[in-house]
Amino acid sequence: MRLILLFFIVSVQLLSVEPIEIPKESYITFKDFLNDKQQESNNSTTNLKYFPNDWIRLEATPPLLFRFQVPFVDNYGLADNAILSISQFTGNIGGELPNLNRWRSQLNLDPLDSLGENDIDYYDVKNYKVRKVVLNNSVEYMVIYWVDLVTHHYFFKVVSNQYFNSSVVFDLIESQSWETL
Amino acid sequence: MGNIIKQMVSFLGGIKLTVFLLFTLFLLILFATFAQVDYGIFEANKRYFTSWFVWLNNVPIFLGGFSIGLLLIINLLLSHATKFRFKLNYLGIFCIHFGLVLLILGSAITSFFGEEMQIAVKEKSSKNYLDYPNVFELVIIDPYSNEDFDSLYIYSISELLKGINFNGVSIKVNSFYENAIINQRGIESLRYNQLGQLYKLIPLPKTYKMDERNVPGVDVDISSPDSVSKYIFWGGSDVYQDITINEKAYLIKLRSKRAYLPFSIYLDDFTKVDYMRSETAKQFISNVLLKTNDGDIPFTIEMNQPLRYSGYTFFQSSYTEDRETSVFQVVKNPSWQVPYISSLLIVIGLLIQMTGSMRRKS
Repeated sequence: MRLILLFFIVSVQLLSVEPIEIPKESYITFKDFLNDKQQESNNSTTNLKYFPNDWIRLEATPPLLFRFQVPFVDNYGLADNAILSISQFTGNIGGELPNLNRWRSQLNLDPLDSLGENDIDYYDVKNYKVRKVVLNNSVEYMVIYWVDLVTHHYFFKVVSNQYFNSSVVFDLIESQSWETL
Repeated sequence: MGNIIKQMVSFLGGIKLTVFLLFTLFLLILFATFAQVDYGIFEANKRYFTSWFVWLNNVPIFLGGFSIGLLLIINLLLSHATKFRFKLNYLGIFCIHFGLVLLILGSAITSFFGEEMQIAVKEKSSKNYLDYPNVFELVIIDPYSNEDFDSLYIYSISELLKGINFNGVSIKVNSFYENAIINQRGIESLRYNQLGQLYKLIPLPKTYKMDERNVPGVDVDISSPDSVSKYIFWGGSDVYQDITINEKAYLIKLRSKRAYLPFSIYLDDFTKVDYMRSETAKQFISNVLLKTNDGDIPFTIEMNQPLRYSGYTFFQSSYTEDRETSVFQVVKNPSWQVPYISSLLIVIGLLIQMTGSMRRKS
């Protein structure tokens, strides 16, 4: 019994990892990372401008650059609000179909196996490609404008409970100086 | 029984085994040369030379470099024990064979105990650790308990995959990818903590290219008696994530394995000299200062002029585009003198044998 106990004690000692001590170092913590990202967002957001005065700015956490409450009038003449989220991503963010299916999944819609002719509308804004996707289910209506600057991408996503005329968002996109962003 | 041992010794020390092993070595080199086209030189070396067997689908199909080397040494030693008598006439042969044995032993020591690392130092700054660029470890750091030093708990990938028990919490791997990247999530995932909320791991095929490296990623559950927290760790991230274990705060990260040095290297100046009217490097020169307990030692590391100190050899390897950071390849090889000694012995043996033969002829 004593041998078993001794074996157990020795093996626990062998198996436990002893710490090593090193001179103090500096570490990039997750908080530092978030602060840097927020700083980057703040720097880049100063370049997005001309937001209408009646849009109410909401709190936005990274990767969102902006969130707005956008007032509009529905088909019945009643006032309503939509939520516009603007985000920016760099590098490879996937193709059209994966992104379309990602948005479809946000509305609990089944994914598509391939792109149809009417799934995405294409526009040209100052020589940059802008894709527009309109999706809806029984309770939610979503419009996404995908501004493709090649090395990075901006998404303008509007969500509302009913049909929303998103031309005001497209006007915002057209008013930006994309060549400097 | 005695007869069986005699037969075995005779077989193991026989010339037929020598020829067989040399032919096997030739085939091994041939297969490895073809394999390194797809797998790259490091993977081919690992699969063919620094292994006991060459495996295919977990089945050993050929002798590996270690097996052939060991059998050659046994064959050489036993042939001496059974066939040669120590006479002055055979001195040359003894030297040659002993040099060969030393060469094979030296390469075995290098395979088992030699290490290759690297260190990148920015100008006007110092560093006290080496990186193993292709080996990763999980570190849990306590930087808060002591004002003078940080405490590191280090776990290898194999230990992480088996599961870690740290101060009463268990770290269990859900998925491990030998090569991965992270990609931003479209929507934050609140199932995860910290980095995992914003990013997800994307597995990639393992790369064998020499100018690329496999960066692992792992999805873990960190379980205490009261709760389970999900984290992702990626070897390419600079971010140390916060974790609280038994009300004590730590930092945790998957990073390249480090070897901490008993000294630090300060890079005073890095210069790249190009050939005239070209951007091709003629010379890299790093003026460094070794900061040791016994004082500071200045040294200039150039191509073909490495720094040897404390068992480490620092070779000038490359630099960053901004020319402010110098990258050194660092080798720790306890048997670095062996090839020189064995080559010298073989040459002496050849000379003795040659002069002896010439005398006998005359």
